Amino acid sequence: MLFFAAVICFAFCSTQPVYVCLALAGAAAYYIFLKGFKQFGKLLLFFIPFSLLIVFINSAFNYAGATRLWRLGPLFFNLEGCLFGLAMGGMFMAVVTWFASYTEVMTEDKFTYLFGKVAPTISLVISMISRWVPRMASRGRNFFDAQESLVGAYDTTRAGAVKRGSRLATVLAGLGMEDSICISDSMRARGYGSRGRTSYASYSWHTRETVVLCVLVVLVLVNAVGMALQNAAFSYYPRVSPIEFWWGYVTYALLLLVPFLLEFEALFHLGGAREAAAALSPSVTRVIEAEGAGLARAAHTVQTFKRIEAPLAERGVQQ
Amino acid sequence: MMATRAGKVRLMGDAAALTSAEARSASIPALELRDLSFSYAGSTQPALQHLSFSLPQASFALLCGETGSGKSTLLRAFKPELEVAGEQTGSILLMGEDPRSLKPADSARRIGFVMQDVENQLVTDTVWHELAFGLENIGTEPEAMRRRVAETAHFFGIGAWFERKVADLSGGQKQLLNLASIVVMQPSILLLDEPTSQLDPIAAKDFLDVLGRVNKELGITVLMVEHRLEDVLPMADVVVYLETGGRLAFNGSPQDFMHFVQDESPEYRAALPAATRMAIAAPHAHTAGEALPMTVRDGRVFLQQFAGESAWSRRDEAQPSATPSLATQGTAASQASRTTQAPPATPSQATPSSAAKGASQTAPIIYMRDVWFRYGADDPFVLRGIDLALAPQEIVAVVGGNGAGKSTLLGSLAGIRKPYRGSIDVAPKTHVALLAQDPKLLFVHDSLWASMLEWADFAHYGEAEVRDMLERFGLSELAQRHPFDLSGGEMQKAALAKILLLDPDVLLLDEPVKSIDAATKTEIGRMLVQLAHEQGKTIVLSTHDLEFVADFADSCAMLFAGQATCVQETRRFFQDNLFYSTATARITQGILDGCITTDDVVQCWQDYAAPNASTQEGAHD
Repeated sequence: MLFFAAVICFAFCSTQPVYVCLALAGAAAYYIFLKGFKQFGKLLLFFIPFSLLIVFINSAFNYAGATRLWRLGPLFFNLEGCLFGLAMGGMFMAVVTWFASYTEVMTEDKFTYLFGKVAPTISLVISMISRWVPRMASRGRNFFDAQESLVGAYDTTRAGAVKRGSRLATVLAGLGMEDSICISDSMRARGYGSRGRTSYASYSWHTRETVVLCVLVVLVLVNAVGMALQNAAFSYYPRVSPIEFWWGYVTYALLLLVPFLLEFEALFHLGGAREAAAALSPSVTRVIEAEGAGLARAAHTVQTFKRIEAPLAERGVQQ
Repeated sequence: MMATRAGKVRLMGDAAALTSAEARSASIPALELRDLSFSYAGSTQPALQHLSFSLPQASFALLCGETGSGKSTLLRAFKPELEVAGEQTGSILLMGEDPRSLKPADSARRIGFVMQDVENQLVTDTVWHELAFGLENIGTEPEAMRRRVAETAHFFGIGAWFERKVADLSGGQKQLLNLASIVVMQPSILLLDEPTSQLDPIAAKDFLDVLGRVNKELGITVLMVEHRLEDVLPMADVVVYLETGGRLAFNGSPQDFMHFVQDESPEYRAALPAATRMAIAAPHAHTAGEALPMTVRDGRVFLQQFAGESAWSRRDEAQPSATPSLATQGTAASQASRTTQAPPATPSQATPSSAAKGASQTAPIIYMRDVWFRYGADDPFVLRGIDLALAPQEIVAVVGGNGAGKSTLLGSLAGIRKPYRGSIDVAPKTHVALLAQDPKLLFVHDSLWASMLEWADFAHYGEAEVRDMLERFGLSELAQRHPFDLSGGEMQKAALAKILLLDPDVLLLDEPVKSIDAATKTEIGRMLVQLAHEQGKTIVLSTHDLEFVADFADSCAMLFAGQATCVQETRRFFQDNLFYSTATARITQGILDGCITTDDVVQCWQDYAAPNASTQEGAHD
């Protein structure tokens, strides 16, 4: 939970290209680990055009950059804008991918476990809502089916369809009230409202969890400092600042790797080391590839920026 | 049992005082009523009158009676949290204590209540949370809770779906979960209000089996309201029968109860198991001492004995071939044709067969050819090449297990499920109307009357038609009621009335007799027969209720794995099926072939009683 909160925050906070690359690689790797390449491909299909759009808009309407590339009618495109757009796109993608992994990992029961002690009612309400919403949705579908199959043929006008649609709310509200009578009966019959409600936990807290939590906190703090420094030092406009190697990148990469380390540990505990290795090998390769690619990309970015930097500096001087 | 109970109590972290209190209570009846009377708030008419009876501990008691006899009201009176508002006199003692004096947590723990509504009893969204919910409420320590939940999950065999979302469970699983999440609290008495009425027959039997185990293996007292006596009566130790007006009419063993119904309460006979009904109708009078059969097995034994005693000897008398003899297919078939479906002995007696004959000659009104359907591109096919021709003016029953595709088939006939492959041809100018499984969805207004008028504009009917229709269904007095206040049976009738206002040619009914009492079922069945055979409607209905099908449908289609495995005339269908058949057919198979309903058997008995009549019948062949 803390991990996800921190990682998502960090991903949001920095548009610095190396950080973005790392965040993206970490997010992608974890998502692939959870859901496999196919699902990730689907996510990509949606995001690549989205990122390109951001790049386009940002570079087209942003005149703060100093390096002009080309113009299209009244629009000037500049390199800094392009790069910033790219970073923004990457950032969004990283955030969303993290969120996707988050929903995959943080099921309602884990949430309830974390907050059950603090606010038992809230966690119960969440649980009830997550039961209620899909029920209402399926009710709605049934209602439309029922209506359509009866009067759809008689009343084909659009007005009729709209009228039927508007009934939906009334019906659902009515049925919901009906339900709630029975639900509250069931709750009272099972002693809801007696004093001293406790909370069932499918998870238990051990020293291991404490250790992991401490490590996480330390990493998060270090990263917060590192990122703040780096963000302050870096800017896209008017020109992209030079990028140097920075210790903060390593800690950030470490932070992003935490879930994998935990997964590996669990797997190694489960079976003998060899079996674990065998079981792991596909996922390990996947992760290592992805994470490695991320680092490589980061390194590549550093170099590219440097390469761009040099001629730009010259041109800048010329301009 | 005491030892385990004591252990559990300690686990609960309760005081030792409670343990000794329970130990003392060993000889006390689980439930005792002393002169209990009750009347609803604002009503002078008493709903329960002077009830006194007691149930021994660990008994399995069945509470039955006709609609409106106050069964549910009585059951709720035992659970303070669920009491119906009204005035109560007399006293109730649960394990020697007044339930009203219990603290809420104790009441929740000791008195378990399982309701009829499968869906709305579930409070949370996951199976494990549902199991833990009651324990959480009464403040069980996490360690104890974890253990108890594990034990219970194991006992009910729900370990496999422990982590699942409640929404993904089948109806039967949901009701099992409801039971489990009550039993997890270790109640001393379990009250159940028609728990199987919303389940299909297989799920209902599973549920009752588990309930039987709860009673036998955990020693929990069970008191259950149920009208599905076929399965429940053989399980019960005690039967409590309430008359209309809430008077206690009978309290005793199931065997005595059957004799009681035979002798003193003929109007309740229809609810008895098929074997019992058959035996009661047998020609030679039964003395009060003789045991009546309850199960299919006992029924077969009974019938065989009967055949040994009377029929064989009768057969030796002169004309064996002419008598409608037992176990001879030919004459049994002649029986069959004579005692056709329509129970209302109206002039329409001859119509069904002629209608069916005419149907085979005329063109089908709907013709499905090789229809395939699935809900999404990634989903498996639900219908896999269905061929079906619906003859006009026929009642076709679609039967089959859960998930066999019955509802989907009706949906595609109605045109709301477009087939993925294949074609559905509907005769020109045919209006098809589908009545969905949940009739509540049709009532969006505050009164029945307003709901009935909803479609008046475009379907061209007026208040007069609505009045007539309500009259016809016996609903006139309920016109101003809120639709949701109607009972299940009334609601179903109202829904049927409403779609009849649209004057459709083809009526598709999805489970029209689900969770409806026997009397209303018969009423709806007769109405359908009348609609099909007199008013020329074509009716397709899906159902799990084979007895209903045997009584009213002209033909049957059995769906299995998305295919129509057989489409046959009803009588043939049940004769040819070995297990998937009515209880009567299973009892009579091989002994008295050709009987699929109790009426058929009764007809046979009568023919014995009047050999002359049957001789004439034999001459027909």
